[in-house]
Amino acid sequence: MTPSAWIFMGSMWALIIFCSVYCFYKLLTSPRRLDLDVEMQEVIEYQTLPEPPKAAK
Amino acid sequence: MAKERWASRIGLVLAMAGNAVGLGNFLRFPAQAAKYGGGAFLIPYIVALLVVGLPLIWVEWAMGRYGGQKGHHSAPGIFQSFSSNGIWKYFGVMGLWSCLVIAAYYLYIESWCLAYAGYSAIGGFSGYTPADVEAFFSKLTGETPNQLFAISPFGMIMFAICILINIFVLSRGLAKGIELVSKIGMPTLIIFAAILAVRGLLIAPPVEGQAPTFFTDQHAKASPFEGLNYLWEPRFGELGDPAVWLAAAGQIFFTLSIGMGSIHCYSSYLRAKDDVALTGATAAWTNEFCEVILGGTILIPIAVAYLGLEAVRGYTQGGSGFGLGFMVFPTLFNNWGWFAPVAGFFWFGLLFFAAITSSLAMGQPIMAFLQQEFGQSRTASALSFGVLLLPLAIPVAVLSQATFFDEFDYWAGTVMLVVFALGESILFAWVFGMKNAWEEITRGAELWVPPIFYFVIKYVTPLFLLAILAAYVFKPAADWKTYIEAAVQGKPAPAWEWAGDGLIGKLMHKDLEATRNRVSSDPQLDPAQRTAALEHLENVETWRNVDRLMMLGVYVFFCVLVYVAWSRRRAQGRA
Repeated sequence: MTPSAWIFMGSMWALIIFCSVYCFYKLLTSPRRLDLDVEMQEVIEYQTLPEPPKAAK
Repeated sequence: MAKERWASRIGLVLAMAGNAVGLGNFLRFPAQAAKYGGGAFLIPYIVALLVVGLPLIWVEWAMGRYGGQKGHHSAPGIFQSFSSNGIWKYFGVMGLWSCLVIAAYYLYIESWCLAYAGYSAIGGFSGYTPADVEAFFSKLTGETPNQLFAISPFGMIMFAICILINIFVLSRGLAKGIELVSKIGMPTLIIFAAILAVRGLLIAPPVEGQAPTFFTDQHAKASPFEGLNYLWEPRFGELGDPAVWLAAAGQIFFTLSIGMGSIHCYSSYLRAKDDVALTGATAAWTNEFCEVILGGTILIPIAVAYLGLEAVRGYTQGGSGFGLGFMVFPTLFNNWGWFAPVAGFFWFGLLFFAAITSSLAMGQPIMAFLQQEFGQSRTASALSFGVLLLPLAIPVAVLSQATFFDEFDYWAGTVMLVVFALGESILFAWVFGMKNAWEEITRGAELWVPPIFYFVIKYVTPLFLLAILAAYVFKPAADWKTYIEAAVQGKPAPAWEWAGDGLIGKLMHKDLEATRNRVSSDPQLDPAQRTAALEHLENVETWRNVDRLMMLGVYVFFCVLVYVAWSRRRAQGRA
């Protein structure tokens, strides 16, 4: 292979592998976890909401 | 009726990537890149990915999610939810029409992959020459020269099996059907492709004066790296040719399965706050990985290793790797001894998985429409999809490929995708408004979408699509480059002739006219052969006209269904 073919192939592969890995990394480490039942997540979010302030006596 | 939903994000990503990864990734891309500039082809390819591919992916995902919140899961309803003008739902019909028409011939190709995979696995291609494989293909399709009817019981059984597999998977629903098949099919496909790519690159031709090593293959004519070089050596001079840019834009467009209505349908099952930016980009980059890295490392390097560069140049001249992939590859694997049946099974198995994950995405929008508007159950709607498919699939299977098969591929699989994408980009960015559109794309986004895409989606993408469409409509028989060079050099341009594969030329059957002229002036044909060939061309023209009327009829049929559905919605106060 000629150097220019290596350069083209290498840079394209690097770009595509970087973007694919980056996207999958973000997806897999997302707080909205994979395979997490969304309804359950909503329940968790609801339960962790701050208590409404109590009315002053 | 239970509400359909994706079971996991990874399942959704794999289903979307499976929808995009198709036969084109492994057969069309390498041939296109080799034909149009080698490594330099990747420059317009990446440009097209940035200005058309990714923007349209985000547009379609965001449109689908928005329409899903309004209770729509197919293109007519999703399009209608962006405008009060009722015409958009009839434009959205294209999202049902394309899926049905493309499925009719795509499932046929899928059945070839299944037949080839099975035949390879039992070692059926052992000792075959390319002529033997061609005879096998003719037996499978029933194609014979100058014959209108192409009936093959074997091929029709395989076709029927494929349709039944698709109906079965679709009837199991999103999570247990499409998602499950994608979760199995996509990793399998990637593993098969990676094994073939590595095995292919290990082919070592014998070197004179050197003792053979473990990897030396006596049948190899060249190093597979010569094939990689052919694919990646940049020929910058070709970048001045508009055909290269159009080919790159076309490849990006078709590889991502944009403009069909299937992405809208899949993403309509998301929730309002779910991310579309990261999930859409992940699916798109997975497709690119399969296309550029895996697709680019199998077909051409293996073919060059065994056939030599000149032969491969001839095979890829038309920009399609179909002949290499289906006719020649089974014979090349025979050089791999005991591994030959496994390699054949891997190759056609990966093509089958690539095809089925795409064909399932064509059935789901139609099923979603029937379930939602006509209250059909999942099983009933899957069966209805099969019933709707039959009138289109039967002529594909029993008539010469020059009739229904080619016409479906041209009109539904090529031109209408661009028309649909242009319409959706105008609807989303201009009718709905770019400010709203941008909010939709970035709502819940887990990936920073650079603000430049605001302008790209609003201006560049529609203009780029318009240019692609114009290039299809006004395609001259002579190369555009010839006209540009003539204009630049002040020379007289050649007389205008419509190209046979341009929209206007196709409407006028210019491709058949060119073949007719060629047959009439071919000195090698005797009078009887010439008459038979000309009669066949007459038949093909007649059946192509029948096919066009049929496609029009299918569009009108879906419009009537949409009209009835919306009348019922109005009557129920849901419109």
